Amino acid sequence: MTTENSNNMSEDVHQPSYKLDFMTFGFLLILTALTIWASYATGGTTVLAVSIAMTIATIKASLVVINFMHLRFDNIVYKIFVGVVIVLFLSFMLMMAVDYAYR
Amino acid sequence: MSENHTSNSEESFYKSKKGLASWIFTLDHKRIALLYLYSIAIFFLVGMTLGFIMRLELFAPGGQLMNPRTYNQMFTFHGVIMIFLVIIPSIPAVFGNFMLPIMLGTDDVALPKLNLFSWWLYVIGAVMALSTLVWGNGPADTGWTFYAPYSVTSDTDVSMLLLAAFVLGFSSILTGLNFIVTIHRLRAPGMGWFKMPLFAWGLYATAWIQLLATPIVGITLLMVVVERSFGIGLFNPALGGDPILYQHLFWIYSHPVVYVMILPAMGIISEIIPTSAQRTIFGYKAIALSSMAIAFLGYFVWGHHMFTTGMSGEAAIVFSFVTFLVAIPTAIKVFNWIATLYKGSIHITPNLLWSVAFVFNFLIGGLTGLINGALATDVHIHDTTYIVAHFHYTMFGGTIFVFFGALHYWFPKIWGRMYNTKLAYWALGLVFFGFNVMYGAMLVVGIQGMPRRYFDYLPEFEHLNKISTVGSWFLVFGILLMIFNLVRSARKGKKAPRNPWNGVTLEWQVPSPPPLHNFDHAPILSEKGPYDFSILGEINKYETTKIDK
Ligand code: HEM
Repeated sequence: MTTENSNNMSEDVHQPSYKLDFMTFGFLLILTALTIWASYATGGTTVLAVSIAMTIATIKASLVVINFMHLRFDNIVYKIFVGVVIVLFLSFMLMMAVDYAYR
Repeated sequence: MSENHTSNSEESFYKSKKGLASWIFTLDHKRIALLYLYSIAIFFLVGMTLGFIMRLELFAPGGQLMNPRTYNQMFTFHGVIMIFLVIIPSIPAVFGNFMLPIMLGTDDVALPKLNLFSWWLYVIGAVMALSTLVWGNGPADTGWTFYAPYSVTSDTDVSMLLLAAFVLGFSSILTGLNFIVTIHRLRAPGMGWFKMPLFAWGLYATAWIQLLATPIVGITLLMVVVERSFGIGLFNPALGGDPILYQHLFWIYSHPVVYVMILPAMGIISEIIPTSAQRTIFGYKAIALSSMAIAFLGYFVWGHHMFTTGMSGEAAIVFSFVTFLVAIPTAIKVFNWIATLYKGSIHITPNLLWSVAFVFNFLIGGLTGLINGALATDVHIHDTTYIVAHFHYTMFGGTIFVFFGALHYWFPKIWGRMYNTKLAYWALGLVFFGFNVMYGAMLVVGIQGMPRRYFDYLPEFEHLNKISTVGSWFLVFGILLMIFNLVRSARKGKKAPRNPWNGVTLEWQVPSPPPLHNFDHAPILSEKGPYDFSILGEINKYETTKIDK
């Protein structure tokens, strides 16, 4: 039983691409610089500043998960799992926002 | 696997290796399950003793045995033990570990080393929690919920208990992860998703909650430790923090976790009932999918613990509405169980009666929950002993009753012996009676206005508190009688056959107790799903043990 299942693993083999890795890395650096610039440009602690910083951080995390953690090469099941987690997280934020917005 | 019909040749997993090290470093899912069982049993007894002493304190108004601070520490420790060390790991770590691989037709979980590691994390977390008894300024007095800002300012040893809960959370995550991988990858050939036993479905839904919700409470508890240690204002308003944010983060985990407690229990009921009625379960798919629906909806109801905190009214309405939705998949299960029993050829056994007692208690737990979920009524009963009774009805009358039922159901499989049925009925009767007297009285005195977490009370509450304490004596006596019966039977009971209750799921096809690699013949699966009783004859062909009736 165990051996039959472990054979499925071989389907996941893919060619790593250094070009993609370096491009991702470069993009992450640019986004980091953008975060720093945005914090100065918007005054650091305003709602706008935090929103921009969080948005950029989310894009960076997604790049890491998709390219460095190889989600793009993974089975559809894993993509669905990650999708479910994102939906859950956004729902938590939304429901808490209902409290904060109307309190 | 051998096709030998008379093969009792493979030794049971108890005999495969000997010595302490062969247990505490084992990778066998069955031994790990038993390690969990014995650890959880010890902590249950400790927690029970604390509960018993608290009830003695409440026998009469005024201080009887302790001062208020000790009472606060007692209910905190009782709550932490019962939640983090007993009920969260209980069914998944014991019966999930033991039965899931067998019920799926495989020889172990997908990640056996991780499985052992999770038990070790459990032990480390337990030792950390216990260390607060002898260390620092004494055990925490915050309640198991660690609400800020008091948890930030209390001079007791809150940080260590928080770190213990953090480590225990990891243990729970690893168990969940293991089960998800096992269910995805190790099902026997031919066992599709909708051919899995319903216990496996319950564990699967649970595992997703363990995996996705536990990290949130882990981080939240660490945030309290950081706030206590470095004075960073996260939750304490005096430092610019928001105490309601703590409650949001805490309950985002701690509400879904009540489904970690109940879904595997409901899975076990869905095993015991078809076996006892000797017929296929009514509404298999509805039960399987309702577990997933409960797990999913359970994520969005956490705010119902916070109606009186000053949270916005709009948010409260949303949370109250979603709370009522959870009743739908829950009711689907209960109706299906009753429909399965209806006109079945019912065999009364202790495990069936534990299950019926569960349905009774859980109905009371569920219906009292509707009153908590409704905004207007919750304001009146919030923080009264009504709430304490409500959650004991669901967690204790629910999950722990099923845990006891499962012990009786799978006892012959795990220990290869039968227990004394007469004593089992007596124990069940005492526990059921004591439980309902104790918590029934707490429900009523709660509605009358007695607050929870108080070591003293007004004279008008004395009568019901006395009744409640007397109930706890029956309850505790019944539990001790049950343990005595099971421990004695595990050593001296009659030898059990493979299939004493005539079940058809795969665990009844392996010897009792199972050998190290579980199966001594290829598992027999029915085309018609896991509860097809027409294959019973074929399964029982493998019986080799002589049963003296
Ligand atoms: C075995 C018999 C048990 C007895 C005699 C018992 C008794 C009690 C008592 C007297 C309280 C304190 C009520 C108050 O002053 O507010 C309490 C609280 C609590 N119990 Fe139990 N209980 C038992 C089993 C359990 C079980 C099985 C669980 C969970 C699985 C559990 C979970 C809790 C929790 C979470 C609290 C709240 C602690 C807090 O307020 O922070 N108990 N119990």
